[in-house]
Amino acid sequence: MLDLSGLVFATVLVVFVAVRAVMLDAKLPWFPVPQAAPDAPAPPPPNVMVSEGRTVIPWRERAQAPSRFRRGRR
Amino acid sequence: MIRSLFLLIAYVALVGLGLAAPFVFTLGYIWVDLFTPQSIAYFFLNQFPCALVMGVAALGSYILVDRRSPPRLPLSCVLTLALAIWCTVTLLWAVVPDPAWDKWSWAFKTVVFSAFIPFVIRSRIQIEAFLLVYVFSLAGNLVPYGIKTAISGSGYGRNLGLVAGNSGLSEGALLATAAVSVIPIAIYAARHSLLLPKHPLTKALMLLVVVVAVFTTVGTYERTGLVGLAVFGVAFFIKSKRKILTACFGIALALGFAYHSSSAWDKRMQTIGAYDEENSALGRLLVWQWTLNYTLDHPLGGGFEAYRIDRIEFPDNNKTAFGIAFHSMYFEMLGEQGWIGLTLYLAIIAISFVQLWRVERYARRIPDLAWCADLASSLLVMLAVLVTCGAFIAVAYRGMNFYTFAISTSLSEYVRRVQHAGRTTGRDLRWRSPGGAPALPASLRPALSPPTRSY
Repeated sequence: MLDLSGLVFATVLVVFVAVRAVMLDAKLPWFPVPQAAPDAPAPPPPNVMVSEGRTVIPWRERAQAPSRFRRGRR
Repeated sequence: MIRSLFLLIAYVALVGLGLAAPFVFTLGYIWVDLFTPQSIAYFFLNQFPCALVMGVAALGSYILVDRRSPPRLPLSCVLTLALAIWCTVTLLWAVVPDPAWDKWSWAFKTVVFSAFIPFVIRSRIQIEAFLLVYVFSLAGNLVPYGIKTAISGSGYGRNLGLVAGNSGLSEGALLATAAVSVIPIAIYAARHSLLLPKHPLTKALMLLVVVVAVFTTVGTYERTGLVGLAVFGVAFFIKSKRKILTACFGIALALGFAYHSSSAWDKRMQTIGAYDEENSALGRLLVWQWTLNYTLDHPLGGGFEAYRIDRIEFPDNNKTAFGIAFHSMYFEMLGEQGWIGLTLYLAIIAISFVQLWRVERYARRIPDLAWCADLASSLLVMLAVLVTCGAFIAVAYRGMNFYTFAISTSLSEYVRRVQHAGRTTGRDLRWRSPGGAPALPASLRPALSPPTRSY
């Protein structure tokens, strides 16, 4: 009788956990994506670097830009 | 008959759920490996390759349909796979080839599957489901053992659990180690579980698991169990925030057991100090000495089951014994896989500790990851219990150890994904408090670091 209690205890709970996991895993996000603090500066747009208040054009645009940009790089 | 039918229904249910969500096959494999329904059932499952079907289904379904957010290849997985390959290579010079193949057939599967787990167990829900399946699968043996011990007492060498025979969880020292190892996870689940309803009954359920685990540990009359409980007590005290309360509770519990324990139990535990007088303990020391000498001559080890060739002479009574088991997972690894195998194994253990320590340290500062910090803390305690108890029992290839290494990597990779998400959005998680307000005043916050080159 006690052996049976262990068997039922383990099996029922394992199946219950599996069912709940299938339901919740489809519903909840896999991991938290960080939220910005209310007064934090907005992140820069992708592919643009911000350094000491100056906007730096990435290398692809810089290579196609007039020579003054290239001088600045040297 | 009803028991077999019940287990068959549960097995089919897990397979059915696996078709809906492939990670359930991995949960099913853990259940089959730890609970061993094939050794409890009387028909069908006892002849059906339960573990093989679940394992192949888990691997196949992952490769075909479930490769969302795969982790990078973690160092621990590389080392685990290297150990699996090395274990196979040592079969070439195994000193007892037939038993070596027998042991390889299950040890290899456990080691390889543990390297696969971090790829399939990735989200919080999956990590928690894995741990709860671990706890409940072992609890299948702990519940009858613990209740029988509480009602009518127990004795050394008595098998009161679900599994018959004298191997696996029917072996006292292994059962005691398993029992102590589930306690920190049960305590964690009572606090943070998302899968179990937030209800007083959930806490009562976890309290029941802890109580039967303690009774089982004591009821096995195993000295390893007492060592495990001591390690758990010390580690839990160190990690506890309310140290005085924990210390008082621990002392009260220990005094209660000391007062109520039988004289047979006391006598058995007192032999810990008399290691040079008691044959079992002295035999361990002598076989460890033999293993060291053997691996100095054979640094690549003797392959699986190499202990069968040992010849131990007891100095006191001039008795000679043959084939004494290693009685330690470290000497088991050394004797069987040589210095290379032992180095790989110790490296995997060390990486697991470092991963958990780093997760605990990082996640403690971030409200969103508070559960990660607590889980890392619980897993550290569990790992400390396993590696300490493992020094006295030959459980090097048991699922309990390798699943703990694997879930440590899963947790570490989860936190790495969150960190990566923080980096790609240019946001720092430390800024956020539970209410959504900034955790630090603006003057104390670090400046937004410029994102790294985006090309």
